[in-house]
Amino acid sequence: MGLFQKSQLISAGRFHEAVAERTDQWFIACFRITNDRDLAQDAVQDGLLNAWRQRAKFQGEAALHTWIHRIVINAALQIVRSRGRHVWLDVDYEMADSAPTPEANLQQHQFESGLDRRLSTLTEVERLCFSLRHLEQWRLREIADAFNIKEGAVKQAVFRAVKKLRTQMTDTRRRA
Amino acid sequence: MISEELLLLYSYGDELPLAEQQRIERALAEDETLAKRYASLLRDLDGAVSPVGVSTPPELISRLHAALDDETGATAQDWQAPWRGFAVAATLVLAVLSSVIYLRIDTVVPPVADIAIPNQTTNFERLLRTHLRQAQTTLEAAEDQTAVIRAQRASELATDNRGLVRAANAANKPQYARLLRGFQPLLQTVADESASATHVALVSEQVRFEMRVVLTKLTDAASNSV
Repeated sequence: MGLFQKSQLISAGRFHEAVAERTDQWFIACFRITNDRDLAQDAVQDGLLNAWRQRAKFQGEAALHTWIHRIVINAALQIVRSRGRHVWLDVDYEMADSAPTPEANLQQHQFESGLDRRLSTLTEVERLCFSLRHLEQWRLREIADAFNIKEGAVKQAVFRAVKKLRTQMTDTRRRA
Repeated sequence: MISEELLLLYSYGDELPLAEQQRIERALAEDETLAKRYASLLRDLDGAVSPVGVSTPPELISRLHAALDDETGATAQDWQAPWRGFAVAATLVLAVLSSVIYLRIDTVVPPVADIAIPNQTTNFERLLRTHLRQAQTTLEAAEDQTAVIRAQRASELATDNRGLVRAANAANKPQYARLLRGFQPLLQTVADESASATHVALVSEQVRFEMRVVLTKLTDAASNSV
């Protein structure tokens, strides 16, 4: 990037505008990923500041808030990776037996008081893969790369997540 | 027979090869039962993820504006005039040269972290000193460990550091919150198992150096306050 182009860097004002308009969306997306209100807030802040520092890379192909959204999601994933790398090391095991651990049960309880009650019944791997594929529109290959696992494992996690969600919805309809 | 899994992949629009995508498209047009199954799948997926009573913490937006202000205060003017870029580059070169000279002659630690430390030592500053000491020791010890253990230790430190940022905000110490936030990406790099050993060693050295500088300032301030 030349010196003349640098003068066209996005202003802080536009970042402030994006914060005012899009923080809710960023927070909800990060909450779905981290399953923790404090960590979701940290992820939004980390991502926003990372975006500011990398603003020279913004090409203007997407809206600024969309570009920040992606960086915020990456910050949330970084937190998840550093918090629970075991989750991903055990992914093959989990595919064989997807019963939630006591820790997952506790997280589930916390999650139920937040949003997407149905997502709370998924394991961490299922929730992450489903959220990224279905809500964030990441491709399976991208998710696999982000967590350094096989694409097939991501695919299976998404399939299991959808199956569980649909079973729950059928049960709910029956009860109603 | 087209499975539910295949229908799901089809619904994403970008996961199947074009030929497979077109085959399912034709089948959906010709087979009413399949079309109903597909509609039911889409309906369930839409219903599965509707948000339930979530709200953004009210303080988050003001916290983000403040963090952005902290950050832009240091950098917003950087590119307003072309000569500033050269000035920044020249300053960096001087800073690197100063560090090299410092390392060679083993003199006092230069004040690279531009932070004002109050003379009055508070509980938070004591906590920060403990954190910085432990972090330095842990990072140093981790250098001799395997990549997995080193990453694990750094990851724990990053979590502690994050907690301390929150504590700094709660204690109304924005200068420390900013400082600690600066350590976060460095610690996360050290916590990245896939990063190259050389890069990690450099970053680890950098973060320990900066922590040492801050620690020296904090210790000096503490002795002055006694």
